[in-house]
Amino acid sequence: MSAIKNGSIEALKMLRALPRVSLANIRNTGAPKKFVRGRGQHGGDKHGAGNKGSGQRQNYMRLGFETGNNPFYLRFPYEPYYKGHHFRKQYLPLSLLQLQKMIDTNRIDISEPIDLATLCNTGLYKLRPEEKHYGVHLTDEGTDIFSSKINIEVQWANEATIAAIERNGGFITTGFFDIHSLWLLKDPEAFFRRGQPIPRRMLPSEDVILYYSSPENRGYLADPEKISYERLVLSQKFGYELPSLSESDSMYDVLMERKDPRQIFYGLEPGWIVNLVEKEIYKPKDQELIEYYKT
Amino acid sequence: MISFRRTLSSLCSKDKRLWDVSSSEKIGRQYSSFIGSKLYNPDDKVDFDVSKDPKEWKYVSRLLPAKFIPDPVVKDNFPSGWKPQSVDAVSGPYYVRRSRNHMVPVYLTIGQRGIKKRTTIRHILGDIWLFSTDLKKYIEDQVKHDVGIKVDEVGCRIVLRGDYLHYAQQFILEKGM
Repeated sequence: MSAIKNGSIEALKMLRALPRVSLANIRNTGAPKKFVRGRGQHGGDKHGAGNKGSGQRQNYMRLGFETGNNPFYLRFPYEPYYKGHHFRKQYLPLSLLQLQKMIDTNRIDISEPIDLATLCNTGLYKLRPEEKHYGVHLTDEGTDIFSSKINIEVQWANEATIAAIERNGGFITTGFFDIHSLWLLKDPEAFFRRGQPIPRRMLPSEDVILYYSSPENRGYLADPEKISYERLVLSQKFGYELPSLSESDSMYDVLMERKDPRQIFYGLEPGWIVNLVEKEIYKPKDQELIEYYKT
Repeated sequence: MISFRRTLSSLCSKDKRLWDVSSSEKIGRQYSSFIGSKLYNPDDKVDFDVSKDPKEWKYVSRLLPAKFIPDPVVKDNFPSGWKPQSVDAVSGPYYVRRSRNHMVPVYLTIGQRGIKKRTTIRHILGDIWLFSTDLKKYIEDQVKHDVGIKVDEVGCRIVLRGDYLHYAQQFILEKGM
């Protein structure tokens, strides 16, 4: 007990000996802070724009300016390989092997003529008209294995591809579609839902009109008699016997189906409106419209 | 001032859209612009024929895409090299399901600018470990070197280190899967 008492007395003694709180040992917190008025919104700082030079002053140079160097974009006097790049047509390739695989896996029905809409409706061929895809380029990969009798309309095909299709008794036509028609062919159902009249298909542009009028390319504007002559010529060149087609053939109607140069869809004429709900087709009777849509 | 007001009133009274145009101009008329457009009269009805002919509707219906991926039809031969699955393939210790497009689910991924090549086989059902040993043996017998293989039992997939797309496809097709 006495030890505790003694301890507290000692503590009090020590406290008395400690220095008092006085002006000499407290901080002078009450003095007014010296106010420095900086220039600008944040007191003259740099607004996070760096320390020196053009960056700090935020005088952004024009695009491509290289602070006095001869700029890259002016260094070469002209770039001819880009000339007219925004008009150039692209043809999205599809090989005969891929086409045969689609036929084998029942994605394409060969008892109907095949066109771009058929290919797009499979969901396996992604046409992008916004990237100037002017249709399908049927390539000759798989010419040896291809063995289906089809009536196909493509936008680009070479000699070997044409031969591979005609060897099996099929028919190929190269047809041009303008970019507005390609949007319709890409998704016909979406177009019919809009309830708009089917537009006219435009004629080929200047750069491709010769391709589509030539019978060698089976162009849709070529003379049919010249095409049948060229079919024979190609069969002799590639060394196969051209299968003859008679009217008694069960595929005759399918193989002979062609589009009009102004027609986008098989069997549907420009100016018609398709009603998917009522399952009706509306055809204009107005003379002005008939005059406009006629081929 | 009076003359100016007269000009203004004469301008206001004249609606440019009411100008009569000949039939040839009507054809080239631009309905997208205000001046070229006709005033809309609700009483004017455009005359049209309604066709419910099923022969014509056939051309519309074949343009509508299928709602589902069709099942392949059994044929004598498939020139493209594609093969349907055999019926008795299911009874084996393992089974590889086809993709939704009826293709063999073997895929090649190339990464790191062509350095990293991985062959992935998906949808492996049943004994995946037996499948991996069989596949490894099948490939190594042909290529005569060791093949790295990774088995993902939970994901039902196998990843091969390297480009063995053809061998893996052939292995699966030979088993009738």
